[in-house]
Amino acid sequence: MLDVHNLRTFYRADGGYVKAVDDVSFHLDEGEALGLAGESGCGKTTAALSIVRLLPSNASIMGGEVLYKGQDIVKMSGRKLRRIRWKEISIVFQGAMNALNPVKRIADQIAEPILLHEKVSKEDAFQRARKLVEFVGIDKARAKDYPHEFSGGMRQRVMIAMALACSPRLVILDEPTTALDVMTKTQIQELVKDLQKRLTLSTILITHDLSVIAETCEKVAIMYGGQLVEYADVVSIFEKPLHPYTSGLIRAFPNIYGSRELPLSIPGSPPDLLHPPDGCRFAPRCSMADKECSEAPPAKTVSGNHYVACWKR
Amino acid sequence: MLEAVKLVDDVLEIRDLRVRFPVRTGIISGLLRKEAKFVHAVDGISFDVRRGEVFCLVGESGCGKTTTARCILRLIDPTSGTIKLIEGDRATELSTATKPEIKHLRPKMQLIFQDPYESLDPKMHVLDQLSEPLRVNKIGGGSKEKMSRILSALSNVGLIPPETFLYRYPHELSGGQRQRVGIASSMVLDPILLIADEPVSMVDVSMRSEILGIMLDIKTKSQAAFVLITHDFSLAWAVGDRIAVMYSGRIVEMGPAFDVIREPRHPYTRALVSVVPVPDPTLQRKRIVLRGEVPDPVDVPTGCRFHPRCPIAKERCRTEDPEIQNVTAEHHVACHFWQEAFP
Amino acid sequence: MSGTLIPFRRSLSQFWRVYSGSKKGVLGLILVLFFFAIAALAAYVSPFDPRLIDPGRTWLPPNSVNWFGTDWFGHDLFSQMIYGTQVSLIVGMFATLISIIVGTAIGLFSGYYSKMLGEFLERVIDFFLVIPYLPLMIVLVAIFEAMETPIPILWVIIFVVGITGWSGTARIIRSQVLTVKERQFVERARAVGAGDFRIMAKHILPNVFPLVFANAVLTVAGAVLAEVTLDFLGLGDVTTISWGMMLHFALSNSAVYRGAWWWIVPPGVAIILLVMGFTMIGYSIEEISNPRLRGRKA
Repeated sequence: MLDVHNLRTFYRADGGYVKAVDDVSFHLDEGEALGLAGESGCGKTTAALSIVRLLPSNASIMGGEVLYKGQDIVKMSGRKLRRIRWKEISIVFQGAMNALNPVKRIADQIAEPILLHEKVSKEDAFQRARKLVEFVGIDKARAKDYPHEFSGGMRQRVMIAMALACSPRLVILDEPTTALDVMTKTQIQELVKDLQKRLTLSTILITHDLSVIAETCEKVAIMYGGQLVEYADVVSIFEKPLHPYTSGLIRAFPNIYGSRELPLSIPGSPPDLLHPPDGCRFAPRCSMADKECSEAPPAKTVSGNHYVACWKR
Repeated sequence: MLEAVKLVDDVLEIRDLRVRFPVRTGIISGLLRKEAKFVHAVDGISFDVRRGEVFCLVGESGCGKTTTARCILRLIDPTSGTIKLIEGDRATELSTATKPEIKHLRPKMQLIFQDPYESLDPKMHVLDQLSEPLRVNKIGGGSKEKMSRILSALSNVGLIPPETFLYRYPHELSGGQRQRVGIASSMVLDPILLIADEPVSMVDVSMRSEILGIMLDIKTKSQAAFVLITHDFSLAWAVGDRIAVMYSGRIVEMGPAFDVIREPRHPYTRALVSVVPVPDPTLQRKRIVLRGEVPDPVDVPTGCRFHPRCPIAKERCRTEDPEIQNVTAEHHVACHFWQEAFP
Repeated sequence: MSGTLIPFRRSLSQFWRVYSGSKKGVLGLILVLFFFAIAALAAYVSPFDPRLIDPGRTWLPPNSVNWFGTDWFGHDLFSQMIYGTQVSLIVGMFATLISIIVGTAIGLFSGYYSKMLGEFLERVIDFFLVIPYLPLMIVLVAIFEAMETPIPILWVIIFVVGITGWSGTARIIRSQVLTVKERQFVERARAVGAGDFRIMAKHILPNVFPLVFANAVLTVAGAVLAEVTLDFLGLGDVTTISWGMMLHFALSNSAVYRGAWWWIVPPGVAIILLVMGFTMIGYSIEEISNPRLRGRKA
């Protein structure tokens, strides 16, 4: 359903380009839940924004293709793009729950995309909005309330309702639960899972929290320094991580059902994407790196459905 | 005999601490309402913290843990209750201490902040940042002595060689490095109590462990006591010695970290632990997802605060506030029916 | 996470890079530096002694000897214009210094202390903000002059302008202080044991300073204008050579009626240019400081 091939998105900056997304490819089937994981600055948000072409003015897609049901989004005209945005693919932005318009009722805000994208009456749009409010687990009677009367968790549900307003087939969620408490996080996670099943929705979940991905996603793509370093189904990635960054990252999350010990850390810091190193971008921090690793970008190998970009595998 | 030993070992003793804030109402509702409304951020908590231990205060946002932390340091004033800081054989009552007394004690209790980007003054370089605590508290005689303290504090947090960091400004440091500078500026005073408020939640995952390692190092070397405030059970599991779970201004369960997490007794703790994210896709467990949200601190439920969301709530819970009971000598819980099995 | 505020030394060269790109800023700077140069080199640039009276050459329009013509006493107006620069700049700068010091101090205290002292000072600021400054200045100058103090009137003017112009600065500083004092590094300073004065001086003030600077430049513009007004109304020292005084004498001697535009236009234009120069600089600095503070990535 969604095929990303060799996507390259760079930001214009003083002194060159910040190579935020540098040759990233992945695939998403109908009804699948993909997790795009990585730490801050790895390019995951940029990749997501590239899919819906909602990049800021100083960023541009420099290459690659994003095929949605066979059509390349990168090369689409404005008109065609608008038909896809929100109606086929929608997105819940990072921190969106704080971006609600404080002077509009939530039902009105949910109805807004419906009115923009479909030719329906205001009445109908409002009715659909109220149904969506209920759909995401909020009492229908509260549809006429204002954002400040809701807690963070409920506002996030409103954002999800907004993303579902035009019945899309694919929803991208960027750090949807990061700022929430663990119980609210779980509530939202359950909601998304439920919606996925009921609507046969495909989702791309972007987060740095591997634990959340372990619990909600079927496929996982790990990004580092703007590149894809590993990509496989969720069980394989956790059971047998092939890339040293992946295994390092997994070990950085403590497991309350495991032994009581300090999680491991990865020394060093992420690469400067303005002047990325030649060779493997993880090499400076990798315990297994050698000369070969710092000289050339690593070969990509695929064994079964498990992709990894590392010289040492 | 046991009492005496306990006293020497304790660094902090808190009894029945309460902190409430008046709610600001509009003029009209202020005139119409006869009694002022209060937010009971902390509503009667008691616990002890021992030397060389990491005591975790765990809870969701709004439970009162951050207010408790600031209250201990007297950055906020308590409404009632006692806070005793014990140093060797001397105990000081912080809740009634005067300003000069508190100023005198400041070096002994320090705070580690959450936000590495906000907690350092952007206009001060590292040397200034670390000299300030010394200068303000008139510690560390001459400048040579101060410098050696500063250099060793920087080395202890892993900023090596320390000399190269002295004149750097915050914007020249990474998040992890800033957090270390923050810790160093607290350590330079040789505190006996360190309160860490979400010390790694804003640090990249792959670098959290280094910061935590520094904290554990400090704990072992100086035997300082840590009060770790967090919402993350995984963190408490990894570094905590004892845990207290807070809900709506009260402590609902408290005990050794292993016991509280592996064998939780309070329904709230059990639910929370069952939903803590775990990096294992094959894990099968029964997740208890509570409905609703943490109660509004202005409108606290009657009886047991947790009863509206509790899966095993009974009639008694609506009317009677539960007492603290002993599961074991070290493990306490505030629930009427903690012995009941879960549905 | 508000933006990253960079320490002063470092930001100076970076600041200049951005500033030199602003047309408005550079133009303003050129204007102001031009007037400073004239004021400094007045003795060398001026063809005549501005106080020299020449009864035979009164009311002359611009000519080859008197480039700006002469006034009712035969003073060379070009020379007067040149020397007038000095007064405008001196009063502008010193009065602003007073305004800035008073305004920053009051703004700092009123923003930092939120309870009684803060509220009281806030009311004081509000009071001074709404008082019409011109009548106040007139009254103050008149009082001073009536008291017949030995203080030269120039300093009275400087003092009065300074004392009435601080409220704008105070208000801006106050609102900024309110924000800065809530930032975590201030809480850290308190946790470490720093007292109020130390926090205000070492933590809040340096982080508020960029704003002070922008505001100061704009205040100079206002001070220059205030000085001109006072002189024009005849409240200044009538023996001063200043643009305001030139206008004062021009109008009180019916220069308009007599068609002596050369007595009115040059001082008027000069005032406009000088004030405009400072205003352009001030706005440029503001523009640069603000979006940079807002636009930085956390």
